[in-house]
Amino acid sequence: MKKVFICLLLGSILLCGCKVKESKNNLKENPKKINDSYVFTVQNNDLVLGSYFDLKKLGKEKKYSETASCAFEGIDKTYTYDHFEVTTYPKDNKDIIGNIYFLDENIKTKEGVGISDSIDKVIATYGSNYQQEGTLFKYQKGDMELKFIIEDDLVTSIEYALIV
Amino acid sequence: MKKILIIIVFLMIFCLLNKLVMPKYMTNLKEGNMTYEYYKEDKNHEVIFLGDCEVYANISPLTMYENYGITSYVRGNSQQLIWQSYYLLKETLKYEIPKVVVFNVNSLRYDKKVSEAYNHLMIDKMKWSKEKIDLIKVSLLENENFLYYVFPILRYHDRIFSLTKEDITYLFKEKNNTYNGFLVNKKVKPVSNLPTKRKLSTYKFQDNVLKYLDKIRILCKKNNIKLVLMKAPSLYPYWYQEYEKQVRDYASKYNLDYYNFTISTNDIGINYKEDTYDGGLHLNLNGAIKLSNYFGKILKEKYFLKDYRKDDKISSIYNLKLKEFKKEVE
Repeated sequence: MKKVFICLLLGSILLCGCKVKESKNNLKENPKKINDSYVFTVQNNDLVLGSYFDLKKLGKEKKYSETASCAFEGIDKTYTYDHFEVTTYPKDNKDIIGNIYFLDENIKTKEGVGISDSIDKVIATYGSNYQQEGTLFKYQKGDMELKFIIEDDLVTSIEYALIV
Repeated sequence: MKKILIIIVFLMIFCLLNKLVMPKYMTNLKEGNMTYEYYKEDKNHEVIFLGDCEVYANISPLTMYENYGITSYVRGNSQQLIWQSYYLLKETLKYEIPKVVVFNVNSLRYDKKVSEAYNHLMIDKMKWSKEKIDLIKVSLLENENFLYYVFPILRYHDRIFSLTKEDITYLFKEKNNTYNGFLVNKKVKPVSNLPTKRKLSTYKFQDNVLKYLDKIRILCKKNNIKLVLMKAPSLYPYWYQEYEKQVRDYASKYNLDYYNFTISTNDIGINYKEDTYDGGLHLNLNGAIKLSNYFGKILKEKYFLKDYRKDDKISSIYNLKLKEFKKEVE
């Protein structure tokens, strides 16, 4: 019986010692591998969701805003540039790119699709392996999505987003 | 006999380990203790506020009591989704039947389970009941397991190596962090810039969300409770016109009162340069007091609530609470 008790006790202690499963809010290793993700290229800089955001690369933003979470520490930061917006969230005291949002027609994805382009161009560029939810067309690569809102066969919104 | 003793000792160690590794939510992440604090209350509330952070940060029940004699409680949690509000209301009705339930509509925009961390903040310290079991079932994310909520050690076992002073200090004792569910925040962070208002693929509240709004409405009706809808003042996340129209249509269809305080900030006297602690997402203490004064008057007059300042038993309880509240906020 002593053996059973020792086994149970050891079991509890071992359970405590198990490595915790990463929460979904925790990011995986950084930097991200580029071939796992869609890449947004601007001013010859590649921005990859899930990797650290190097603020210096893009120059001074036009607008900067912060939003806090309801309970947890750390703030999401949004940097607005002329034609797009980058939103980061904190991890290990660094800012991780969580979202890139196009603000107008004067910017395109690395593959050449922009706001006002046709749905045909989107499908010709990214293929027909997309998920559709109403006007939303989503392409997934790794743990990120490239999202197009398409209305009247035209792209009206483009966003790169981490899957949460 | 020896076997039984060994099993008892093992169970005691197992229970202790579970209690030890579970976050205490006393000095850090105070939001995790909100569900639990309600159980310690005298259940005599005429108004129950239900919703997410927009209620626990913005509504001060003790201000409503002080100025209008209203007894109320905020059953709100961080990122409380509508199905969670429903089960929390169901649980509340096992303890008391209020005259009015005020539901904050912000969560109508969320139709997906969002975060395991927020689930735990709300559920970890909820008392075991059928409502808790149902709530866990509807809240579980793909990577979660029901047993994580039954045996905290399964979820928090890594904490054994990072226990803090709080874990020891509050292993066997508790303290209240809120005043009738209101979490005081005195910081001031004025509004500066906000992110761009983004285009959404749909603005329509999803069927699953509306199903739970119906459930809340029907539950209130069955219990002869007046359901009131509110939208707390906030500048972000944006409350789209399309959302507003759907709430107004719903309220009109079912003859519910709806108060959108995002459009009456001038009347309330809210100044986003000084009445918010996070740049316009939530009100701070000053803002919450202003809103509670304003809304308390409406509640009192419109729903004929009793002035409990004249009730010896209730006022003796609330005067003690008010004393503590004043001590913290002044």
